[in-house]
Amino acid sequence: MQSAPKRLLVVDDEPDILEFLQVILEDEGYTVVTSDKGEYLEQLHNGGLPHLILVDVLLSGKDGREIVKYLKSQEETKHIPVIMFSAHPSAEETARQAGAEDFLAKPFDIDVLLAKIAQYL
Amino acid sequence: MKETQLQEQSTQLQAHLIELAHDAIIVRDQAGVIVTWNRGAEELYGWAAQEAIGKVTHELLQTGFPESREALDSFLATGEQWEGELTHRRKDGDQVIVESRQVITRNSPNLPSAILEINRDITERKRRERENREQNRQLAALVESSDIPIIGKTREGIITSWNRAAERMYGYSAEEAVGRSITLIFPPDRQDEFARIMEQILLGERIDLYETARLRKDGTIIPVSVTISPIHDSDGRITGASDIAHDITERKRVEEQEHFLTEISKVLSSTLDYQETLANVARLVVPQLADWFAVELVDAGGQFELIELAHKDPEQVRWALALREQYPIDPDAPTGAPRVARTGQSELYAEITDEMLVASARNEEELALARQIGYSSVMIVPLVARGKTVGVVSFVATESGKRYDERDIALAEEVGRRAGVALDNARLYREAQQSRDQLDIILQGVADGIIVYGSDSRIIYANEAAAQMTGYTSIQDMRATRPLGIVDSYELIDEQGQPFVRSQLTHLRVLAGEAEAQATIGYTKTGTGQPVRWSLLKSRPVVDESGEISMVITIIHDITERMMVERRKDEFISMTSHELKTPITSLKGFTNVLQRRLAKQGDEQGLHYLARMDAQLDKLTTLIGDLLDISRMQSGKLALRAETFELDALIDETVENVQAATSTHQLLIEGRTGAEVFGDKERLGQVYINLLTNAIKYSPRADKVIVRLFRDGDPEQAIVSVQDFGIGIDKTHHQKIFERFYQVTDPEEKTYPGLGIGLYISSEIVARHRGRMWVESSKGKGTTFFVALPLQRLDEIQTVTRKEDEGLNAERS
Repeated sequence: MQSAPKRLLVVDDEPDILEFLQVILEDEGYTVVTSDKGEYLEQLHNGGLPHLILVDVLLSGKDGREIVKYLKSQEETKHIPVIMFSAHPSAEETARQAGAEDFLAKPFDIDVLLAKIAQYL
Repeated sequence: MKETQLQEQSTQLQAHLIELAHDAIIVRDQAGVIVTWNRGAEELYGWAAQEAIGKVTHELLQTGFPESREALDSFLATGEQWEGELTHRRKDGDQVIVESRQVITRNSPNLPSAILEINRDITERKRRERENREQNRQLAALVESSDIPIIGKTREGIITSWNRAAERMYGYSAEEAVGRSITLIFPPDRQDEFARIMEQILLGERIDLYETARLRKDGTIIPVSVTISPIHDSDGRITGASDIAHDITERKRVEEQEHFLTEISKVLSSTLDYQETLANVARLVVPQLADWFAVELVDAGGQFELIELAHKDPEQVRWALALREQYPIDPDAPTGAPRVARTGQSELYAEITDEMLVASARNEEELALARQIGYSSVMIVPLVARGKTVGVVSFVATESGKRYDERDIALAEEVGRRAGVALDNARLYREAQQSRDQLDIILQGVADGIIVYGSDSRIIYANEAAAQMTGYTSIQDMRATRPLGIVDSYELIDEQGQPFVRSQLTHLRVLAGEAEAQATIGYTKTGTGQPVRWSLLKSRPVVDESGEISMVITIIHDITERMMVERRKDEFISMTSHELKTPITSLKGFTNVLQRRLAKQGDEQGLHYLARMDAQLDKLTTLIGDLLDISRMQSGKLALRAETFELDALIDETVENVQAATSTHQLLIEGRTGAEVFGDKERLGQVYINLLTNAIKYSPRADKVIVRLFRDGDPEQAIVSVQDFGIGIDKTHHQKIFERFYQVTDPEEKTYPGLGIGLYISSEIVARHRGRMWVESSKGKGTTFFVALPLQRLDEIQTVTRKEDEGLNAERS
């Protein structure tokens, strides 16, 4: 990747997941902004709008699908591709209904995740 | 001269008269020689005048004299006129009877006298008279000898004839009766009947078969049917009436008995209540047939139990019951009721004499009582039920003075038989009622709801539990409301939470032909969608002899508790699996982070260990997934996402993926199905992965697995088989390996670890696709698993939204 690094926003309430995703995704050359639950909006403009957003379906205190619905309803963010993930494989349908472009069941294969991210950027 | 002329004229006139007369006119002289023979004589006797004249009359006509010829001659000699009947012989030989008048004529004392006779033919009249006499004689004999009492009487009612049958019937002899009024034989209360009858008779009407009663000489009344006809004289005037009576005592009796038996039958069939039945019979018997009526049952030990005692006076009944207490029946008594009970033979005591009372009384006191009762006549007949004597029925005549005879006994026996049958029916009914009550008590005590539906799906029976489970306040409420027996205030849902279609109610399915039907129903309060109760319905038909469904029995088992526990368990497993997957996700993530580090450092060994770690994490993930699946299958919540796909392509993809992960075996694909299948591609893929990994796992010494694709069966199915060349599975396990948590353990062979759930999950998934899964194998020969899927579109597959995660929002905080 020769051009300016793409920015990714990762929203999950699990610090461990946020941590390894940050390590791996930065290793892959992305600029990564992470957020656990509520403060994602503050992080949204952190260094400019992200090129892709990863959101967990179930967040403590906040439904990831509500976040996606909001982002997809906003003029400035609705074009940003969203990939959701969940430990409930059956959540895919509702995730897609909320507006997510893609879905990944936890635990996921890192290679599959990277392939999907690349697909949308 | 003038005188001579006159005489001449007169003589001529006489001659003309003689010729013109119809009667035979004959003149004979003193010697009896015929001198004159007129035309009438010629016609009567057949001889012409010239043949007769000159002959002696009596010789020619062979005159027959009523007394003697001398008597006639001497009578004539007195100069008187003689009249009488004579018989003559005609020329043709026939005899004629004539009415004859003869007179001797003397013109002058000196002249010889002549005898003039005029004969009139009365042969025909005499014949008719004789015939009439004969007829009358015969008729009289007929009337006299008739068995039917025939009485003749005048218009005024005076008896004119009275035949022997009348003597027998009324007890009066003809001498006693004739000349007296017919009201003699009219009962006092029917004296006015005569006038009424006579009025009709005088109008010329006949009274046919008029039923009335007559009074005998001995004062008894006999029922009769009489025919009374007018008697006319020869001028057609009504002079009296005949009275022909039939004794209808027997007919009346038969009629009354028939009527009585009809009434008895009506009474006996009107109720199945023991006491009421007997009381009704007693009301008919007393006082018509008896003054006292008693029914007693006899037990096996010969002991009597009085179950009915009737008399028109209840005071008397109380008295008799008290007596009975004091003087119970001696079962060993040689006569009376005990004997009837022993022999089953009726006893008739047409007349109870004082000697009999003396003979049967055990002591003075009893004798005095017996005399006080005033027995007149007694009948005791067996009470018969199903061919056995179960008691006795007594008919006792006292104040009525009735005398029973054989005909009464026949009627009494019939009453005994019918009452026996009715009592037996009442007993059977009571027993049936009791056993039904007992059964009902049992069924009411059962915790499960029980509903019995008729073939028209109406509720025949339901216990309280059934009413409560289906939301009714009572069985009555339930039976009254609707035939389906499920309340409207609930919305029914199935296990998947979908609206339950009423036509799928189990009893309706059984009525539609299913041998047995089962359904799980959740009851949700209308509007809330949240089930408050769950029940498992099982229905089975009750089939009658002709093979038709006569009833459907539905058992409703409350499974609310189980469903709630299951639901909590599902939620728990779902949550647990989520909780487990989250750390695995982190583990896999950090493994990947490490892999990147070690790759940069070129630590091949470290990378190898990390790859093993990652593979084990994947296995762990699969196991968690399996557990979740099992839980869902158990609660019927395994949802399928059906789509149409190419089966061959799925197999290719699956084989490729599994091949990529194994280096020990070569996976070979043979044949094609060319089939499109409608189903959950991911789930079916899971089945084939399971079969392939098993095949590799259980054939450690082999180096290949053959996957065959083909079509077979009727209807045609797409079949995928996976064959390994491993240790094989003994036949005894072929069915069980598809059961949950079943593992083939073999002391000789190595036991393969695992949860024993893979094949169970696979077979469940295949079953949900209306497919079939089976195995062919024998020990040491390798194993082939088959999965057959129907080719037609599987519209039945449920494409229910997976919704278990929704409930988790609340769980996790």
